[in-house]
Amino acid sequence: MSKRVAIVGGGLGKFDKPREDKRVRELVAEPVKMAFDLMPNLSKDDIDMGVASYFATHFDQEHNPASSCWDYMGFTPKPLLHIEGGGATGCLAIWAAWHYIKAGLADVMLVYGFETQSTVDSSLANEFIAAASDTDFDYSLGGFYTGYYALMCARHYHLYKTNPVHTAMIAVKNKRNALNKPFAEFGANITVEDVLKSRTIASPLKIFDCCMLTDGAACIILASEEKAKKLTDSPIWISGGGMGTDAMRPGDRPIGAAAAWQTGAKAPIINPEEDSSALAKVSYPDVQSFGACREAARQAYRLANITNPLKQIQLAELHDAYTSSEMQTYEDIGFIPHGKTGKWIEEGGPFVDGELPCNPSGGLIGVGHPVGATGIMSTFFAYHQLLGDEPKFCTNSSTEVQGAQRAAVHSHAGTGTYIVVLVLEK
Amino acid sequence: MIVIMGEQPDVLSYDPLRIVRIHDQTFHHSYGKIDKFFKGFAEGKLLATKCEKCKKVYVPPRADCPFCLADLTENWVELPKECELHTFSVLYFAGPTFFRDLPFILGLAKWPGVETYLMGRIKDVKPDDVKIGMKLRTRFAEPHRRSWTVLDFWFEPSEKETKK
Repeated sequence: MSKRVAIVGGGLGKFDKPREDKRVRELVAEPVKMAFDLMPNLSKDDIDMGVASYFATHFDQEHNPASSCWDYMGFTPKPLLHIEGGGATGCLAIWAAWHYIKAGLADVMLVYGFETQSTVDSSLANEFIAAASDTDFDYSLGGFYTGYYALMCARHYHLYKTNPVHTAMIAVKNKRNALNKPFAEFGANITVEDVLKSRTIASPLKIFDCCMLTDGAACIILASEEKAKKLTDSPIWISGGGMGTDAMRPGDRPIGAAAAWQTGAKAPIINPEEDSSALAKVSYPDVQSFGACREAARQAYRLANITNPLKQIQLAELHDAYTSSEMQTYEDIGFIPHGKTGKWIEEGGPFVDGELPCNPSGGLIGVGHPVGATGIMSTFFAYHQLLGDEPKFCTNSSTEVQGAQRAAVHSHAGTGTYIVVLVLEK
Repeated sequence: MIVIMGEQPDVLSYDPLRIVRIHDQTFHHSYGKIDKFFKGFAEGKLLATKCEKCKKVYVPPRADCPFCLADLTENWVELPKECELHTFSVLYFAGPTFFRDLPFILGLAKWPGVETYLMGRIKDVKPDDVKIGMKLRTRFAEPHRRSWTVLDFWFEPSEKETKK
């Protein structure tokens, strides 16, 4: 019988660009010190192992920042692992740490993540990030991630009659949700009209549809059940975790997850209101959807006994690198049946006072996206929502989801290449 | 990653102290077992690999079938000149290497009987006239313009589209 795993603490540094006041190791020490300050019962000796989360070493021209942070904070000779999986790196690191504790190999783990992206201008930064796509076929055309997501978004608009107003509403929601967060960099009180009038980066995506390059760091502390009960009165359990993969090139999607679902098991149905014949009518996931998300959610929901995600989950932190990818994710994580997302957004479903608040933190668009820290930031806010003390990290309680018992956290890489879904509950 | 620093780095600011580091590298890149695809542009061909056992055609070509892992390096097929636009985007921002080309259009092209989509530039068309589902034809760079990269081929509306 594998062990239960709890989140017992965490910390956040200020997300900003640039953070010239601190070098990477100093940036990482900031949230780690905050986590220890918030947990008087926790000492450095309690930490059995670390997992470092970062995506690129291009930005700091330093190839092993995992180790430099670890010894800077005085955790040697304890074991340390580095996890890298593009945008999903943060939750992938938590997912990895969860396995160690579940297996009984560690009792307390420190997961720390960071990224600094301000050492080069944004055009070169986008080129560095685009090197995570296929460099022979896609990137060499002048491709970069906003362009790839624009291709996928255009296909979603075409197939499901969603439109730029739907994606703009997500930008409005996330930027407004970040307004009360001192840790967030990109909060703004904008309107749908502002988004639609903003500069086009790659049609149909406008600049307000995109997250911005950010420097930042975050950490989460996980513990086994026995240890969690000694460290805190209010552990939040990771009751489910899952990870899925799909073809790296968007053009290869038909031979990725889709191929397995054509020849073997059908694409799993994770929403009781979803009609499997609707999926069969379109090529699924193709480029308009994320098959890896469906697979990650299937694993996580099975472990957490979730059969109706919309009813059983009270809030979600989703990987909104683009408004379009948040829109697509509502369907693939099983909140809304395919093709019904536009209507759900119009009804206010993902807003703080809606049916299932998505990104009450402000998400990547509102808070920022320092890649290796992002999934950890999302987990931090979901954790405090469930603890009931989210307003402690905000200037007001406008984004508190009262009485939430269960949250989903989602982290997403590439064009849907790696996707992690975690279920957190009280 | 090797860091090459100039002998006298430029100072950007004194407080906080920020200096310039230069990192400029030349890489010797190989296209591996499927370099025939890139050589094909000079012959006016878009080439794909085919797995006879799985009855699947791949573009970009794969040297190994992802399903049965058969060696496909001897099984090349030429794609038809005409294809269909699966989806597209007009880019107004890019990495510094491609800034001079802005704005440009990227699309995914599909062919009947081919499993995958191929990303390419779309040229000779106004952004407002590009539509999902339109028919495209393939064009190739003249010898003096050849870069031996995927920029050596592109798509433009087929004659059927231009007659509409």
